[in-house]
Amino acid sequence: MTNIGRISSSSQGLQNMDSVASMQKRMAQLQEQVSSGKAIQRASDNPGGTQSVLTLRAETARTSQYTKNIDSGLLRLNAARTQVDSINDQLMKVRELVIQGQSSSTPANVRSALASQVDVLRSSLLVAANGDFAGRPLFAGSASVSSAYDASGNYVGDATPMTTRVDDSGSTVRIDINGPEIFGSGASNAFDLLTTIAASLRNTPADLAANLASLDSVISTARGAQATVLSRVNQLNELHEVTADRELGLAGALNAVENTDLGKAVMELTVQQTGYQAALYATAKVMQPSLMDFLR
Amino acid sequence: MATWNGISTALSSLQAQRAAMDIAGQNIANVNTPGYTRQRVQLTSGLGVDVSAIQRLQSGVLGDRARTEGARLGDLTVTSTVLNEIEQVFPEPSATGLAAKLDAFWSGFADVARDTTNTAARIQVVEQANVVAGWLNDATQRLTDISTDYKQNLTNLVTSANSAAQKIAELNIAISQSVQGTSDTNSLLDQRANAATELSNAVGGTFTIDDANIMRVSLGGTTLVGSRNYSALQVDTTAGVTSVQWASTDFTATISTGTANGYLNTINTVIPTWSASLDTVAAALISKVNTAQAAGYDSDGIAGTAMFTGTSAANIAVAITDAAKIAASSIAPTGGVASLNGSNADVMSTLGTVSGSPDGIYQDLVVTLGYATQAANQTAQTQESFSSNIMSQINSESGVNMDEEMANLLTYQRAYEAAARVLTAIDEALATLINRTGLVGR
Repeated sequence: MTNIGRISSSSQGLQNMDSVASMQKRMAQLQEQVSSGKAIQRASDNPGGTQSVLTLRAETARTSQYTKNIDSGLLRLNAARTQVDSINDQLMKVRELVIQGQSSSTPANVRSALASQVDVLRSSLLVAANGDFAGRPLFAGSASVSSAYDASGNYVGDATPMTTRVDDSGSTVRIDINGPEIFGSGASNAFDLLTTIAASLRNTPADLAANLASLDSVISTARGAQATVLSRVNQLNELHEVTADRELGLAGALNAVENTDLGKAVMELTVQQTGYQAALYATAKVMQPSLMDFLR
Repeated sequence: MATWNGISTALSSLQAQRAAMDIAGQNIANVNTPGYTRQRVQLTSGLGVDVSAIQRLQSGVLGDRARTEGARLGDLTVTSTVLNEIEQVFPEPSATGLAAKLDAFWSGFADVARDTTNTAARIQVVEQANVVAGWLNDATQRLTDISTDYKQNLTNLVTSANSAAQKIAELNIAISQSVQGTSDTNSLLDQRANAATELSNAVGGTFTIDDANIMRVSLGGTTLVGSRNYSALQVDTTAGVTSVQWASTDFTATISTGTANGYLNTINTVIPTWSASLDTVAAALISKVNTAQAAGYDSDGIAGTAMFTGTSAANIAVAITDAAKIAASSIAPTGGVASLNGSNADVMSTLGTVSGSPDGIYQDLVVTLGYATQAANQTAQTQESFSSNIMSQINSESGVNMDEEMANLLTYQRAYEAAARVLTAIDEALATLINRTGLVGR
């Protein structure tokens, strides 16, 4: 109130109305905060906070995409891992067959039977090599083909890796492994070698020693692929944890900026209500008496 | 002769006290009348007592201050109201604002990047592009609507300013023709002060009152109201810029305060500024997405075409309808066969975070607007309490206090009774003189 000697009846009323109205306004704001649960209704309530909310929300949206990227990458890599494991097992079987065929005591007809088994394993390997995931070949890179290898064992995929983004820094992780990385490429690829081995078993057992050396090299490549897939799976598993933590952290940060601190808001509301009632009471008391009450 | 003087002295007192009681009654009757200035009889002694004038208790200085501050309040209130309205166009933070729509748009590209053969994800991106473009179109339209509203408001305001100016001119004539220092003239002065407040709140202006009690108003040095007439104002929008000009000359009137100044700022500066900001958001979106599209290849292995057409928030539109046109791959087709690579879609999913991203520009817009609105609200609030302070000062000087009037009423009533008693006493003395003298021994 201004420091003035004279008070007019209407200014007294106006002043009371002003203070009551400003309290009502503050109460309405608090009520909005409590009922909506949001501390920031519009940008001007807290421009700095609004900036944080917008940034955090965008980051939350991106992080949830990273989680989806990681999860879908894990599914794909786990499918690849199963196939690569089985490929390794089958190559080991071929190795056993070769060693069996190498023995001088193995008669020709047994070698021929071994050769047939090698042929079967080769077809089986081809099936594994053409394994798919969600309708797309597992080992064909980014090529738009129905399978990674054709019927005669030639790689028809490409060398473009499939990668997925895992964080804001732009880090990407490979979520595939392609055919040549498992089976080797060029003349020494697994399928050609298995054809050669079957032929050697049937006709030229003397070549088997050299074939075994080549096979060991192929097996070593496949083993390497197995280790690579496993390490990529492990990396994604770790990233999954990290990203989940990040999402929780973001949700917490967002909650702190965006949501009403209910306890505080309700407490403040109660204080405001008390003040409001006091103002009304004071108004009623002050406005009532006038000189007229005291004249006869 | 003293005796007869006594009667007329008592009579003058009876008349004066009655006049004073009338004025107290007038004051009490107008205790709640806006703009009413309390009056007081000025008594002077002569032969008995005279009502020399009926004073209007008001300080001219405070009235000038109140008008100036009232005009400033009108200006600042408009500024803050407009910014609050603009803020509604950008409802942030919320799920319905552009920020959330852009987040969803970029997320859509990440979905495509994960599996470029996923048609549903591709369609989702096109849909979301339409949502974003539609949002920008709507927001621009709403800004234009606000501007249109304020043009209408300005026209209405100028009309009422003209009628206030006319009223002042008419009251100038009435006041110059009436007797100064009477209750009737005082009420004309109150009416003129009210009209002056209305005019000042609308367009500002300099108010002067001369010795003959004529109020003159000038606007930027040009006469708006003279002793008997006024110059009308009108709104002009022909030059693309809205202005208030003199109806008689078509020259632009100088308006630097008042509600009209707030409206003019809104129409000529505030809305165009935020509209232009929104256009930079749209331009960034168009350029970033189209550039990224051009760097990739679509489902059919064809080099990516523009996703958006247009140059501003008003005309941005989605150019592609076929979801296959999203250039998800960054690898050129080999042997006519498109690659399933999703690297380009992955790059597009990050467009919200690159430097110069529409998201960043939009965020700046929202935050700048937030700070501007907050500042305008506070300034308006400060001005409001400043103005109401002056109003309460005026009110404390010119407003009616019931207790005071009651006390006056009592005083005058007692004085009236006393004067009546004087009359009775003289009357009785005369009766004694006339009827009782010369009766000795009868």
